[in-house]
Amino acid sequence: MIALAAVVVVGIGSYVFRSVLILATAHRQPSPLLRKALDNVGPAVLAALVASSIYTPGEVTPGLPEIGGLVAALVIGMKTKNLLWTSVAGMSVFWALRLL
Amino acid sequence: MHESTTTASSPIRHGLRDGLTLFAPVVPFALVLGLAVIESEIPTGLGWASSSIIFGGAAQLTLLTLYGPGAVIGTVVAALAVNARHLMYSAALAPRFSEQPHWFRILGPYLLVDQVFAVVVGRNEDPAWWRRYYLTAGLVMWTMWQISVAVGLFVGPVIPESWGLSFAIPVMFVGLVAFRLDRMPSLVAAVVGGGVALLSAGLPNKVGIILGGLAGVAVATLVDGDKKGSR
Repeated sequence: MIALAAVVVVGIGSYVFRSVLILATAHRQPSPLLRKALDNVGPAVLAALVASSIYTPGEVTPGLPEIGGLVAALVIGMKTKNLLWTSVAGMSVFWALRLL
Repeated sequence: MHESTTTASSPIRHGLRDGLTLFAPVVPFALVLGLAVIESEIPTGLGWASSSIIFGGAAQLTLLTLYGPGAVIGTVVAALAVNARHLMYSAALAPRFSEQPHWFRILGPYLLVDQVFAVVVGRNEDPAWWRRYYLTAGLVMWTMWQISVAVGLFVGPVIPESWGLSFAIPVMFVGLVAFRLDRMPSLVAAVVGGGVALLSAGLPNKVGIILGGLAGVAVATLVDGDKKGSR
């Protein structure tokens, strides 16, 4: 019963995080400054997610295969803007460098 | 991929393609989560149900791995902290949702996970197209997530960790960042966001993601303002 409550509370909390500003600002135009700030949320948070997933002090440290794979993904992503090719390039370089 | 010139093409076809492409790198994570469900002190059925009740892999993984007697409140707070970044997604997409019908503003946010945010945030098509695209990509993610976590209950313990399949997740996110680096403020946001997250990587509950996101947005917005003000 306690486990069920914990799962439900996290579920409700997650929904609130995702919806609160969408519902609170419905039909209101954000100020130019806010709109400018919101344009930058995507790249800032996605880059932070990458950093968080490749480095945790004492647990996860990126080596040459990881760095090579990410650089390949960055280059191919910028050139093609295609997720499939980006993933193929990043993982291919990662696996190739691991074999060296 | 994020050009408004695709307005005439089917949002469902685009949503299916992008949803499936986004999901492929998540498969290893879903399999790991399936394994975590088995090993958790939370009952297996409830652990799997958390995939639909929470629908957020990082928060689920936090809850499943930390949950135990005497640690319930701390575990719940930690899992919520992990998902606090979704507030920023909510803020970023609020203008797009303001153009949508009421039912979608209520139901849509449930599907707003990292991958869905990543593909919808840069799209500039008209509201109806955007809504169908969002729902298609979101429902693909949701359905595949439920299936993959269930599969993970059985095959997660069998896949060798040495394959390194989980590296596909940061690769995918790097690609999504790369798509947005055609503006100087976006480049600044990514560099500062990633840098601050790296510097604060030792903090608990993945707080570094939130700090990186806030710092990246703040600095990039200042740079953007200065650039326009100096013209």
